[in-house]
Amino acid sequence: MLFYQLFKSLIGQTITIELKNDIMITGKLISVDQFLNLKLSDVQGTDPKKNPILSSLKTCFIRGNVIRYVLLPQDQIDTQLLKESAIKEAAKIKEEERKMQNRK
Amino acid sequence: MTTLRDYVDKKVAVISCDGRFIVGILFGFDQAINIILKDCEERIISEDRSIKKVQLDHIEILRGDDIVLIGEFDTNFEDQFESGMKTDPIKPLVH
Repeated sequence: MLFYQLFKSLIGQTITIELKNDIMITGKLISVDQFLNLKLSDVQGTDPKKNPILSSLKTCFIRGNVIRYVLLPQDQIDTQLLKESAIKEAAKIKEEERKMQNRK
Repeated sequence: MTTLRDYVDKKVAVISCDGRFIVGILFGFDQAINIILKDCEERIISEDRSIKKVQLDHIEILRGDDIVLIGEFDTNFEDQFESGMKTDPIKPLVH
């Protein structure tokens, strides 16, 4: 849920995505769902020489499982807050696991 | 929720896991991103030949697992495809 929230807070920002087939796409994030499928507008290949066919797309939908990296604008992210949230999330999951085991 | 609803009945370009590039009209989809395309054609991209259009005379159902990207296809770009554009093919997906 943490990463979903993070991406949700980045809606409207320009991000770069590297896919598992080495395609790099830059675009404005429009929406995200729980599978981390992303929708971008103003799509462009980061290297226009590499995949010029990408400029034939106006907006695009990327399936979450094919994403390798997401490059985010550094100034838009509070890394300290992200770190704390990640620790909290991990603790929450651990707590839930413990409860489940006690129930057994 | 990210859905494909606004792509329905529009011309879309789909890139599949094996690097194929298919253009067609989106007919339907589900939550696993399985999609139905009609009037579709494959564009065979190669580095030493211009882009070849192959009409697929059937309705195509693509399994969500096999889809990399779905984009709204800009028909103004068609001319550039026609003009004999040569480019490297799309690589297959490596997990």
